[in-house]
Amino acid sequence: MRAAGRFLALFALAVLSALPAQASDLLLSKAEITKLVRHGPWPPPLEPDPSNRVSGNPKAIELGRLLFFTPALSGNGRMACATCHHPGRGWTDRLPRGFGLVKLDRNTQSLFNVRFNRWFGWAGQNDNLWAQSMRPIVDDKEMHASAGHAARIISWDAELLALYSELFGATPEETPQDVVLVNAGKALAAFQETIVSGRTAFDAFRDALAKGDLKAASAYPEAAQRGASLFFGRGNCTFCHTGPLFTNGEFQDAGVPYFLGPGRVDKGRFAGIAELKANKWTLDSDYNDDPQKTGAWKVRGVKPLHRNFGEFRVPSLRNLTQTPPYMHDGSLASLEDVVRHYSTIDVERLHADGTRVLAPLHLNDREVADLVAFLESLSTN
Amino acid sequence: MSRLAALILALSAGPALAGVCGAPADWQTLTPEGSASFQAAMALGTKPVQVGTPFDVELKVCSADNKAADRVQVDANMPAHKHGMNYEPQLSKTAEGEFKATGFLFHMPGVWQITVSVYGKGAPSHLSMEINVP
Repeated sequence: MRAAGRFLALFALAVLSALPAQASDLLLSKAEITKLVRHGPWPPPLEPDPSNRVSGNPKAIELGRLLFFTPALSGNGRMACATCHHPGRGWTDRLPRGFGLVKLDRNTQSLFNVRFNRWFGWAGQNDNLWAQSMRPIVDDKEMHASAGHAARIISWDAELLALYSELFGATPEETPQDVVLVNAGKALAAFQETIVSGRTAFDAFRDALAKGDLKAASAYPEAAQRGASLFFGRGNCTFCHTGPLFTNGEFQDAGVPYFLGPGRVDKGRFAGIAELKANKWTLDSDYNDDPQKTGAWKVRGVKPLHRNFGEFRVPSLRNLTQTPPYMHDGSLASLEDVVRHYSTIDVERLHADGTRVLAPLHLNDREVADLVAFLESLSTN
Repeated sequence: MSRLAALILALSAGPALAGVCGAPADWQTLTPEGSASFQAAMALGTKPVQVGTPFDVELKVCSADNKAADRVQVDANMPAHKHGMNYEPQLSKTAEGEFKATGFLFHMPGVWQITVSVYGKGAPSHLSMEINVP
């Protein structure tokens, strides 16, 4: 499929190169179009997660759905996964910072397209979706439950018990509690893998360019085209927001303060790697169902670096309009605020020895509006 | 058919010429820093390398006097931005003078430099090659 994508990109380049400049009303340069075409096609192939033996299994998806929406899974019986990841709010809570049993330090991330992540959470403290799904269940500040509690909840509900036993070949009572929790995480992951955002105006534009169909491409609004020209050109946004998902899946200091209050700092990826290395549920563990442990290279090879301090995961830009507010601390309320943040970014507070990845763009009001129009085109209506 | 065309045809139909260290012709020869006693050739497991996509490399290392390499290190960096990768590749020896390194990931577009250091008798040899990731 990747080969097919590359072929399409090369085909588009060949078609566009052959066009006389006046044949097109496009507002993007050929170089910008070449970069743009690399951000598709969408959606990517939906392949099962080899680390999760119930990935893609319809019964696991149903068990995961039931677990996701039941508040019984929390310690006090009042908080479900869906409380913070609400489907009607873009699978987040639309609050600056999440609320569990207390106010949390970071913005609640949307679950759109979570199946494609390399790392999970703002700091990448987990390398797989099933472990990330278990984390809030046992976190004292969030659902504040336990593996034993999860096992009891599944055992006491006839529907949950039937699905669980059929999927995993034994009842929770016949299974070590930590394994029940992992299995619940794998069912929750199977459900979340179904949350894939739809095709957007950008995808139609991109595919039209890839096919050399300039008539279809002309349906894309001019403001969004000008914004795309900034995004793929002068803005250099594709340094970090790469590929069909509009993220390189890694971590970056975006110039957002990470001081939480007097004496408290969010260390971001620096702390995330430390948590990961102490985590017993990684892809290098025996909980991984993949005998080849193909994804374990990440946790084996990731290296803590000084610059990780204050870095946070580069988020996908798909369906952004459904998931405000923005940044790891939810400090920016709107897409316009985000664009103005990068337009006036203070480079003095960024760690960089060589050529800076981020530099103030000094956009005027129309350019800000154009870039917002482009970002909005990455969302489904 | 001209003699030149016939020669080109004959060459293209024949076996691929070997690179350094007996590597296939489509492997890339690494550039030594100064007077390196070791040579090296490398093949990328994924072509072209894409931003944010992990890939492996195969490596052949040799010297003119058939010295053995005691130890080999591989890494990569972006000279313009003065930063390296977020990962440390895992290197394994597959045969004498042959290695496989897994877990490369370039997280930004631009020019990356893969570096290889070979340690044996005498001064270490440092070699490199550049890849422009679109």
